[in-house]
Amino acid sequence: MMKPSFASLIGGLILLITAFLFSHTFDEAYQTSLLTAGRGPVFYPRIVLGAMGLFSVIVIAEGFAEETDAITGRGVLIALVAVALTGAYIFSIEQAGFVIPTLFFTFLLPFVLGYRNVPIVLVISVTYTFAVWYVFEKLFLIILPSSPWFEVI
Amino acid sequence: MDVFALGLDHVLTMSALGAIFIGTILGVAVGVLPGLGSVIGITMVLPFTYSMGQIPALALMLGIYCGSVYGGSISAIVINTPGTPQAAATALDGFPMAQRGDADLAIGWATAASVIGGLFSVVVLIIAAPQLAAFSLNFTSIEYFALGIFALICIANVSRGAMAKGLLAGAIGLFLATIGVDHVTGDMRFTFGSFEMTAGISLIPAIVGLFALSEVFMRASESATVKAQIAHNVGFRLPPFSQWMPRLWLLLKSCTIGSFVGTLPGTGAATAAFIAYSEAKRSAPNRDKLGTGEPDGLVAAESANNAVTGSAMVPTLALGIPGDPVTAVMLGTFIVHGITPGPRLFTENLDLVYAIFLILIGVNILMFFIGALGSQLFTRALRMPEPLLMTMVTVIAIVGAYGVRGNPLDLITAFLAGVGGFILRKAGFPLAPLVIGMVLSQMIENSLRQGLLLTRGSFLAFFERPIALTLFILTALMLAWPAIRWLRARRQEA
Repeated sequence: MMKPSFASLIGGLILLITAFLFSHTFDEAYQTSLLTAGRGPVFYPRIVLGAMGLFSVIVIAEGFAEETDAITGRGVLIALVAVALTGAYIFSIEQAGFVIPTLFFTFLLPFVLGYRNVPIVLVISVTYTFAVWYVFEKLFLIILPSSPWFEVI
Repeated sequence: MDVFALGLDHVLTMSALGAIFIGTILGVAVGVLPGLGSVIGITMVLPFTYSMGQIPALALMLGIYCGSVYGGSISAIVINTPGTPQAAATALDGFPMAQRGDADLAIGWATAASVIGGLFSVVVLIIAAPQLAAFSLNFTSIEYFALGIFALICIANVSRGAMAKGLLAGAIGLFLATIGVDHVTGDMRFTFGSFEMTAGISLIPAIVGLFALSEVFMRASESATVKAQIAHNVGFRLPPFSQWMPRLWLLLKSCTIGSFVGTLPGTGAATAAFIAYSEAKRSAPNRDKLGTGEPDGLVAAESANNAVTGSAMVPTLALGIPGDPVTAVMLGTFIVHGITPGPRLFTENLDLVYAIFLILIGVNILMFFIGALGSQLFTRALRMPEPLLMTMVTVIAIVGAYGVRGNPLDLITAFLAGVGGFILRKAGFPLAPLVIGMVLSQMIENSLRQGLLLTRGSFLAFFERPIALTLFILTALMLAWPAIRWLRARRQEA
């Protein structure tokens, strides 16, 4: 039996989302909208969603003919850790400002990506973080998120 | 003439000249480092441009664009790894030349060909863009609708072996841009009651995520690092003029190919370089030696890929339609700086247009000196460990996403776009059509709805206008091309 490829799975997921969004365009909220030339706000999105549905089906069908690609292994695990670390970094910027999370992030991400020279990573982490902060805050006057605990950073 | 003098005045300021200089150096550096490329390079400097004036910001981006296309050739020659996809054809003759101890000469050929190709394309831009802009003044919303669809289908169609994925990615881009307020009726669309979603998905954070963050995640998943194999004798040696003479026709032909390909949506410098290289293989004087370190290959590939840079700006400036992700990012930044590309730019802000022409000329000339003086230095950048580089890219990309509006929501947009881009790339989807779809969506929707008003709701009337009809026929041919090719192949087999 043919196994669906990763592309087929993603195509299937997109098709499900498309079907949901298409049904959403029939929501009552859109029925009272102003019409121009007989077309309302969801006229164009419906065409686009229709195209998305059609292309998703083709992608799914094509995916069955593709070789089943293994989306497993150490590489994907590293990528998932990198994604999680970046997500945590972005979330913590909002909570703790730019500098402190960036210090941690620039120290940890090279380790995740396989570079383990601690002194160099430490030096780069500190100098790069403060250099970026200084350039944007002081030279370009772009206000980066600040920490609730320290006045300067 | 007064307008030209005004354009010159814009460029001859310390800030603009400094931006040209820094942009070109950064561009070459970004091009040299494999995997970064023009889009990530421009994305990385986005936050710096927010506090700059219009002209320095444009100068910085144009410097990075042209510099990165050239910079890719240095790593292609020195370590047989093209710094950018545009330089893939350069490695075919550049690396064998470096292996026999002539890396400096190969860099000399590549630099000179790049500069000539770049300058040639600026001439094309100067001649073609005002003509196209003037011609497009005759366009109604129907022609713009046809043009938008044509551009998107072209970009999706060049996703080799993945046309359906390219089309799906383009449609996703079109849909994402509809989220938020409907500009015609003022209704909220697909916001699901969320106030934050009413402004829609911000383009720059989405691009930052799709290209820069997804690249970092891809690198993490592949955990492939470039092993530096620095060839000896890295430097710069200009080939004598006598060696150029028999190659002038090849140079002119490659520049023309590059400039023509550059004006077509979705094709880009990599395609131009390979077409020019194939043409050199067919007709160059030393075609039998191509692939063994023959300068003809370098001249063809490098002049063609750099000849794309100026001509790719033709549809972007004249019509406001980007031809590739690089010009899409630039278009987004133009808008952030209050510049709206399109025919009106040529009537209302001609000084800006002249300034762009002058900046491109300056960047291309400067590229020669940077290549001549700095090629040895740039190859040292190849020794930087990739994990450190990727970490720096991530931080600067995140600052770029945040800096557009100072809105933390943009960080989330960038992150989600990064994860989405990573998943799509893993599944073999091209991201360029998605971004172009996002950029073109509003134009396509508005022109469709205005067109329907003009024709009193009749779709058939769209096909009565000659320019629109031509574009629709071309679009249909593009869509049908894979089927035609398949049928021809079957007939040949039979």
